[in-house]
Amino acid sequence: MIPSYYEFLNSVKIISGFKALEHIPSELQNLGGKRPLLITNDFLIKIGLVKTVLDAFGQCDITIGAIYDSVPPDSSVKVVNEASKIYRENKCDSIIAVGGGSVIDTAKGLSILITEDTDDLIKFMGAEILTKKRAVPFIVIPTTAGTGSEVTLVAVIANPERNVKMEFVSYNLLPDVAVLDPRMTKSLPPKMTASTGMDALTHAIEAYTCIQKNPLSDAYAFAAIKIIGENIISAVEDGENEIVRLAMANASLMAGAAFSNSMVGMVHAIGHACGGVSHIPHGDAMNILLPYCMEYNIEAVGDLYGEILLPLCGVEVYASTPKDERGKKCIEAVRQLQIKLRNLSGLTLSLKEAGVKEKDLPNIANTALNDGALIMNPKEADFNDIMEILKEAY
Amino acid sequence: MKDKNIVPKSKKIKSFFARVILYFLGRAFVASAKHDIYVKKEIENWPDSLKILIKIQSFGPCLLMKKEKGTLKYLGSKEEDCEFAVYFKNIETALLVLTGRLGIDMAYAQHRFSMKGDIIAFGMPFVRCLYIVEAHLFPSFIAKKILKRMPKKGTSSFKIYMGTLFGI
Repeated sequence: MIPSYYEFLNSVKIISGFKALEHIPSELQNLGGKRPLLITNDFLIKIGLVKTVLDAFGQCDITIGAIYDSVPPDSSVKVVNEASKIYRENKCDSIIAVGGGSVIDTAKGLSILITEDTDDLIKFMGAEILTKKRAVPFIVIPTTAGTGSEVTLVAVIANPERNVKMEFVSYNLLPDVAVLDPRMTKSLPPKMTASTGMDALTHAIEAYTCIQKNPLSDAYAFAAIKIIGENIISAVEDGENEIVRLAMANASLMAGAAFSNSMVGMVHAIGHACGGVSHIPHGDAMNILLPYCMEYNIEAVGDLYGEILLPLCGVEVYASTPKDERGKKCIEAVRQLQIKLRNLSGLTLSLKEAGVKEKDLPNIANTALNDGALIMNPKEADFNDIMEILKEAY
Repeated sequence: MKDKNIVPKSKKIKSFFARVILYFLGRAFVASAKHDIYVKKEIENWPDSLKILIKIQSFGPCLLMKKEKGTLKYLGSKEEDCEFAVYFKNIETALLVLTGRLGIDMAYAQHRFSMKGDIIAFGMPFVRCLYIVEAHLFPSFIAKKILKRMPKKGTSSFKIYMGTLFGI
């Protein structure tokens, strides 16, 4: 059904494939950049991924102005300001982010500082407040296949001094180019491959069922689920397989494009809260909570879960399942997938196992209530509903 | 082309209508903050002197409220720089929301307004307050259409109507 109104934008140029990194210099030149700041973290330098990116710049007239490699797992104002200082001191003119969600959020934060010519991010918190078109070329190279941040309009940056988790939502945060090269995700260990892959699946499922779903986001989400269903097990079993790695990177990007436009719901609201309160990895939280939240939402969107049984499990399972049982079957399929991934990689399946303390559950529920993603959920949820889900997932 | 600098007609009647609704919405917010325990609870963590603005772009009316001594105060239809602001992108969209034809959650999902400030600390509690205010103000057949679930009311709607109309 066509929604009465929707908006959709994915302006990011996608470069996907083998030796895709080698195309970055020409893309950067097209965008007018000659002296990029490369933002990453020290772990990616240590395992050689940043060197792979730098090698792709061989024999071109671009100079890497500087490398900022101090991005922690959660980006903060301090980190963005440090990156900004290095950007200005080294007279950089463009940004290349190499990393996962935190690195990309830092780069998005830096793009705000440069565009708005400011050193105070807090003034720009909110949804669609950034009216100036981004003033700096911006290329993203994701190193996980899960967050989809390379094509999303959101950045989350902590401000510990003011005890605020700043949310920025703006189409002006979308990068110019996203580069998917299988070399960048080949080194992901099996457990992280499974966890980030389930993060991407969660993005796609929530995008397909949240209140601003639309025909375009549906197309991205549906395709992402199909690719994940076909490739996630192989990616965990055989991480060296570049074809499978590239498929998962594409699925993650498509799921990101889907949820950037239809947004995500309660799995993310509760998952963000689990991360904030108990510091469990985002992908683990998504994976653990997904089937429980689907069970909660089935009353509102069971038919939609039924539809995605087709890309997730294939035509035979879909056709052999009666229409009114497909929604439940889809949840069952997610659980079966989780068990397979657990057997292969040790994927965490409960909040307790992930390190959440039972006494923290009320705090997590309260925090989740104030997460913007909860508004987008197809079914209303209050404190008691969230506590029930948390207890079940514990 | 013969005509240049075409200035589109202003929507005076719709703008006036929106101004009237915003006036009553502001007073209903104040009454709810005074009488409804759930609204009271939502705003208790907001800092005193927090200002909230609802503004209709580009030159439409607005609604300004301030938290003072633990409750809300209606400051009229004036625009000020606020810690938290909701900017409807146009008068048509604003009227859809203000007349109960579009829920605030759908309006947000559809990018019908922009929001300045801390979404976590102010945005989400504001939305929940609005749910309650709408549940008080709108007849249930309208409220049920725009709310995914009817929120718990912390007082009678009669009290909110009295507070809105007579400030009691």
